[in-house]
Amino acid sequence: MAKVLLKNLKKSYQNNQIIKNINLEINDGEFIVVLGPSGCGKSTMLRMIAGLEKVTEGEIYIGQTNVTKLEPKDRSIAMVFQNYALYPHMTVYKNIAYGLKLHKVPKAEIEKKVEIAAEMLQLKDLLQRKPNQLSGGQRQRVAMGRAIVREPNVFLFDEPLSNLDAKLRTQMRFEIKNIHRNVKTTSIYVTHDQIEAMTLADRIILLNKGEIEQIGTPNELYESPASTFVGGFIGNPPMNFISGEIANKYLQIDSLNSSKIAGIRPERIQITDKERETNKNECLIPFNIKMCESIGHETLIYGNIENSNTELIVKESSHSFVKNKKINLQILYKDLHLFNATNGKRL
Amino acid sequence: MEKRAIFNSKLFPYFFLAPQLLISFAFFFWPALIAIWQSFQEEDAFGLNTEFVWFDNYIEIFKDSNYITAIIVTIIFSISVTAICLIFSLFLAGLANKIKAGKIFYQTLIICPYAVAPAIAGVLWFFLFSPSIGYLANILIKNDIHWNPSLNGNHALILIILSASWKQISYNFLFYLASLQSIPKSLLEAASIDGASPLRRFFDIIIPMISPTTFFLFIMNMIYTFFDTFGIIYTTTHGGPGYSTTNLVYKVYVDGIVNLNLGSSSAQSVILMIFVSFITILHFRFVEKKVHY
Repeated sequence: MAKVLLKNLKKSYQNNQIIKNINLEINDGEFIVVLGPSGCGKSTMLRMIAGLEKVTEGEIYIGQTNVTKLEPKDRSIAMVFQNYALYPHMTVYKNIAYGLKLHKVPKAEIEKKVEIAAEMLQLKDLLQRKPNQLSGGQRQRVAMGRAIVREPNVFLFDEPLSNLDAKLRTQMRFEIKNIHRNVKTTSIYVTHDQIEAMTLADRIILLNKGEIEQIGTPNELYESPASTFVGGFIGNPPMNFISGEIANKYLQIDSLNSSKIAGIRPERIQITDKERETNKNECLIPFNIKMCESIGHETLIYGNIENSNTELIVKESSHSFVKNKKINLQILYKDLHLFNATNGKRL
Repeated sequence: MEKRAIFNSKLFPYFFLAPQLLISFAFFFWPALIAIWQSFQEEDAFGLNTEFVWFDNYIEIFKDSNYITAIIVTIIFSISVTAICLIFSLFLAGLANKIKAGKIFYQTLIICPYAVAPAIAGVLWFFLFSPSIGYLANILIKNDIHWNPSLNGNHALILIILSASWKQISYNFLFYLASLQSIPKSLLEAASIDGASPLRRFFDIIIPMISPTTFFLFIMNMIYTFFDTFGIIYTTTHGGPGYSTTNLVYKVYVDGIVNLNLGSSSAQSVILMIFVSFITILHFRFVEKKVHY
């Protein structure tokens, strides 16, 4: 159990800056998800915390210890890899016990700990198997077991579920959440999957091009994105953006001009058929439907604002829309997010 | 996705197999059969008459103290060369796997000896260790070691072990390098997070992961030392002094071509043939059963 502190963390390969000055404090027992598009430096950041990647500048603290220059084995961490990284020549039991054996834990204690972990992860019947006799989900569990028995101060997960199929992924997500609830070890979890991030995280760190774009609870990121990048990254389909001029014209907000961007979530837009009076909380936008996609419980409607080429996506639960139909979109002012047009920051 | 062509004629397959079968028959089966046939015969020195003697040649062989010496020489020679090759090439491959700059240059240099013909390798080492003109021999003699492979049997054995190893290390190096490169990096990272020092990682992860390669190389080196080292021995020591560097395959040559005892020579080659078949079977069985890493 420990806090993790990153101070002015930087990493560059030759002249290429991968991580640009990250400052971060992770609380004891917190589940942090590091989210970001591929190439944003999230794995590099995790590997720096693990000690697998040298730190160019800055410091890393785990608990009270400055671990910046320590070997991975001296950092009291455990890591779950994307490809599981199980030792193929060892049985499941030996895979889980290997770390304990290296730390000279007495044999009886190792047996007990492995048994507890195996129980927790439903691996009891598989202990004598080799990794190549296991399914993907089982291998993932063994990798988790290997991390758990060590009782480290920090768990590190490097996209642990991305090699699993969709159904198993959901199941393992639950299990990871459960395990964290049981052992309450500080966890740092790297993923590019926003569903995983939203469901698992106490707080999400959204990385973009080696910089922290926003830190916050999943709801904070969804409800009040700090920038257009966050709005466009969190949520599926992503947030709609309307340039200030167009917004000014149709949304009738005087303060809107070309220096601003308005954002609205697809699921917050209502569709109204008829022309009607608007009250002061809402506005109506004329809209041409180009295409509808039904995904079962809801429909995605693609189209543009009339007399402009601003494209919007609308998420609706009803299916009664016809292609090429002109409709009105109803937007509540309270659902609008305003951003600075030059740097994308929230206003 | 069946891509196999199907021919109606029953003769067609034999037609396609013919070249391979012809070559195998002419250059392997026929000589082997003759050797087996000859190993049961005794021929007089002038080749005027031959006599069928059943297993007399074989019994003779094992009564011959020189043959026992040859077995011992072969064992020492094979084990030494195999051990030197495996250990040294793994060491070199480990280094080559680490470096970043000049990798291809370094690898090419190490592979070079493999392209040298055995006889030339023998001559090369003969000159290096020749007591009168050899550079390395000079260094040894200056350090009060009375190096003389043409008089001292142990020195001669060391000399052929060195030259045979030098040539074979390249081959081992190539396989070890490929094997090391195929170990997923994350395995070693996981081990280092688990708390394994570099030495522990080497013994706990790397050695088991490359064990199939090690076994393959062990077999290949054994076959190499048993059969492909004739050129090196011939050019370096001629099997001498005495019988100190005469291994089994060299003795086949000496008894057959020099001493013209064809029966005994054939019997010896049949024994070698049985040995290599045994090794090959062992190899194939292992490869089939190999664990899938």
